[in-house]
Amino acid sequence: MKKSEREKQWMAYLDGQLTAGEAAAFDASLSEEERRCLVAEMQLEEGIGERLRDDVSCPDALWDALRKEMNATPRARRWPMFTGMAAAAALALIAGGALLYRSAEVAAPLQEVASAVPTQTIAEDIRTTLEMAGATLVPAQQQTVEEFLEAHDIRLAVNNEPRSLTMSGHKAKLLGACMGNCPRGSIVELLIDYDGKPAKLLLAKNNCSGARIIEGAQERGEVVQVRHMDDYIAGLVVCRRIAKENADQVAMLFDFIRPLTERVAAQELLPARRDSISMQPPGAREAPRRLSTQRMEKSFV
Amino acid sequence: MDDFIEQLEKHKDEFYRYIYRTAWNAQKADDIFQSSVLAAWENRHKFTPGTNFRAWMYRIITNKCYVANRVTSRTPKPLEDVRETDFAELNEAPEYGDVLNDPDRFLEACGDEVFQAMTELSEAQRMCLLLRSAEKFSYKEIADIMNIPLGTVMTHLSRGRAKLRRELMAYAQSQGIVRPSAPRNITRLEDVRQAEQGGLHG
Repeated sequence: MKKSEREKQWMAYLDGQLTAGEAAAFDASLSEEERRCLVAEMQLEEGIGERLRDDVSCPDALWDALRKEMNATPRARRWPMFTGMAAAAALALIAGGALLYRSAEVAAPLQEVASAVPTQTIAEDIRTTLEMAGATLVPAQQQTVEEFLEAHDIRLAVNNEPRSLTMSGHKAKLLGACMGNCPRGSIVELLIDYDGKPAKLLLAKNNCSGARIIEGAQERGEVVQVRHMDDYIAGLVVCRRIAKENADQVAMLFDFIRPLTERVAAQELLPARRDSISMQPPGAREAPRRLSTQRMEKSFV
Repeated sequence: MDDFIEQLEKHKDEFYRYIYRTAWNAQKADDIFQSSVLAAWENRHKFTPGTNFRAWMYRIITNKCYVANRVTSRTPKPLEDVRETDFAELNEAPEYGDVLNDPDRFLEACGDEVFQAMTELSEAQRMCLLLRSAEKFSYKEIADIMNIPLGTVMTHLSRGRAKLRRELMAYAQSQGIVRPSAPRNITRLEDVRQAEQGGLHG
């Protein structure tokens, strides 16, 4: 019998996964020493299993919150929406909707950007976003978000208290960042609370698949405005009602980000704060340190 | 509806524990647990009453764990992690005899090192081991939950167990619980201690 075959039998015997006949045959083939080892292995395995079973339990607060959510709002399925959209897309294709096929890359699957359209509440929006992306929300500290962007090849400065917004009389707050749910392109999302309604800035590098998805979404009206900064594209997503009422005002949400070069220039105008910034001129600015994704995971979760 | 929540409540601790031991981070575990429970709730109409609720939930949870760890799983492993040891190879190591001579004492001496050693396993090995050793699923059920062939489950289990034991043994050796290279004629811990007291190794 081959060694690997023997080992499989050994393990299956250990785990009680052999049929009675197989177990008896295997048992008969064991030497005294092998039998002694097997008993000890079973004991060791049982001990490890016991250790892995103890000590950890679901936090009460987490379960209570989930239970409350399940009891209060039997969640509506998203399928009808997607099915409707898919049917519409199919009809468009059948009718010779060549528009959708102008470029296979621009015509992103409906699902990709549909996930970016904010739903009704901020909590629901963030939860849906994170659930669909299987991502974790990066907290809204400026440096943390900038590092997260940098780890995904987006070198933009974050301003989590834009003066323009404060002066406009609207309340806007950066809630955090996460990866977008776009399997075919890398998009980072900044989640924003705008007057109590959810909004998002989708960020991607120009000319990459993420940028094309954002542009495609703009054509379909899912992204209300687009702005280019340095080598990046930013797409703004807000609730339709807000977009209609405050088309100009919402553009100020772009002020949550700005090109790195602008920040350096601004900082050079503020000598009092020079101690906290790079003393190098913009051109000589040191390339931002690139963090490995694995490290980012560790530092953010 | 209440039945479904009751079922969830009944098993919530073991679900959470599996997620926690897979993700190894409380914050991440909370996120995955929440996302899994809500996904299950949303898809509860797909569960057939009378079938195995635990296995159904573990399928959802395992998928969520995969998704949550997808970034790290793409990260190339360090070279030393690439070489895998099989269970049989381990049994041939003479110092492993010390471990098998008194498994309970060995585990007691290792303490929480078991959890540390678990983090050294690959995600798939860890999941297989948790599903088998802690949650007592059959190979077939694990294959269904993880959506992998049964043979792959056995390979993950074999390698995972071997690696776990090697890590524990390395720790035990560093702590002097197991001799670095125990002579073949001294296999029992008791014998080793007696030999030490008698000055044979001193």
